[in-house]
Amino acid sequence: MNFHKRLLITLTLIIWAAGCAVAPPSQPAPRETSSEIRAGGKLFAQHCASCHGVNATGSRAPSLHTPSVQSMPDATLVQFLIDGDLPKGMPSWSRLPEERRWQLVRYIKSLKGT
Amino acid sequence: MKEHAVNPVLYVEYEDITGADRIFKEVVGFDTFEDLLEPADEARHEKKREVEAKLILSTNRKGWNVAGNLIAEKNLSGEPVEFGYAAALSRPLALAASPDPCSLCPENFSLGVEMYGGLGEWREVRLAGTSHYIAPAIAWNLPNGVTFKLSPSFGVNSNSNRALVRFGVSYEIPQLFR
Repeated sequence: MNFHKRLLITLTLIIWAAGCAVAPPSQPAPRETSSEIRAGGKLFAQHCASCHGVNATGSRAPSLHTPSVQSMPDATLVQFLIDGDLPKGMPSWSRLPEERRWQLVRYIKSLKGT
Repeated sequence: MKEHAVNPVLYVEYEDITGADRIFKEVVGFDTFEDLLEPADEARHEKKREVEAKLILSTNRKGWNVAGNLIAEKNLSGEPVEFGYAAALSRPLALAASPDPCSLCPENFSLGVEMYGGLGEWREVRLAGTSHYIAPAIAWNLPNGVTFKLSPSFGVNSNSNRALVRFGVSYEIPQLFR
């Protein structure tokens, strides 16, 4: 087997492994569980807390406890994460996989009443 | 502003280097393995003041990131514009985040593959005489914003180097101003 054939097989296996390692989402929106909320909280700390504050109570960016955020449908919030609002300082988070955007929204919605 | 199906980014960079610079960030024009054969002592006398522009097109679908770059590089000493390309496909090992803090969990790793090479130069856009590479890539994203990337590249034609290794460390600065 020549070098290029071995290379092609290796790359095919790498792509296949990457695809297999990913658990396919069983539904578009993950179920609302405590682990989903904890995962969302972890993502929030990594990506959002520097602007929205550690507790999402607002800092350079608005509080996420407000009724206008908490009454927003989940799908609208997910879409807002995809689009962002750069003129107001909100970047797009389209590079995050959809599953993580839903985890973020689960976390944000869990803040209601806290 | 609505997210587009394909996101275009125009990137421009200026380099002031010498011919002894052996870094292969990209391949353009008729770059071949022979460019590396010139002794560094001699190559050091060759000044390279270059402007490089990239049109980067990328899209994210179902966890996959697909990106393509069209590269144009101009040596300001009067040489023609050289062209190149890069195309890449990557995906994190886990799409959803795990609930607990971690550094070595699958969500922090991405695997991918990249193809890149030269496309000739102004008025000589062609594949003959150019070199091309295929490169598996792994990226490790740490929660603190640091990313390590490693990508061994393998030449796919007789003009290419047999193998190259590219690696990088980057840090994403959180939003500074609003």
